[in-house]
Amino acid sequence: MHIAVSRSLFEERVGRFPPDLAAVCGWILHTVAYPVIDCEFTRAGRTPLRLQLDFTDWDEQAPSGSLRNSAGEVLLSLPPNPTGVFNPGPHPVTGRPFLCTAGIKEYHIHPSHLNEPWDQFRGKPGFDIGEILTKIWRAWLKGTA
Amino acid sequence: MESTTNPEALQAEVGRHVAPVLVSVYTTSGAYPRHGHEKVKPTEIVADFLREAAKALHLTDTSGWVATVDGREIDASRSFADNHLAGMVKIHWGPREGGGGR
Repeated sequence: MHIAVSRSLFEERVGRFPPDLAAVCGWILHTVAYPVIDCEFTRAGRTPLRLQLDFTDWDEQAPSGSLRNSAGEVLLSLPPNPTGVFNPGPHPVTGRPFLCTAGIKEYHIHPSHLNEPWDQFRGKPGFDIGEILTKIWRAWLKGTA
Repeated sequence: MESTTNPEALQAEVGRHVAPVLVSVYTTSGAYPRHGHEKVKPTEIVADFLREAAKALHLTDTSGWVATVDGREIDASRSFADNHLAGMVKIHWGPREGGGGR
């Protein structure tokens, strides 16, 4: 996909985020600039989790996700989470914990999900930028650590 | 004041005197209202308010979405009062988490 088109799609969608959204959700938006959303999930009594999504080639490709601590360091292990979205890995390609959910590149390139390519989800309800971010946040909220 | 034992009349009487709920809805596609909040009766059904938000924000498919307040899921089929929501209420509305492997 041409970078200008990808950038335009990205900026149109993130431009709709209300200014107060992060405060309402307990997010710290470290970066929202094409092609990256770097969002830290926070909640009282919880260890924050920082999610970095790389939207290069959006929406021809699903965003690549990496999980980090508050300092921005890539996590090599994950706290338990009942949803199964946060897979301790290691991912066969990245060798790290990963987001095991449709809409994330590491899911679609995982050998277990090669029969579920991103093209099957692209453009469908629940798979725009904000919805992908929201679903991961809600999965994180189900955890306790 | 006249007294009544009719439940509907009582509900209406209460509705006239209790403070309104000040509501705003947040989605990643925008906020409703765009600035500030709407005043609604505590007896208003949350889903009715969410329908207004969906229309204003041009949301075409909200099936499976969940409404939360301060991280707590609320029952949109019930009223604000039934959900113990009063004063200033900021609702986050969006898709439910997917399961692992999905």
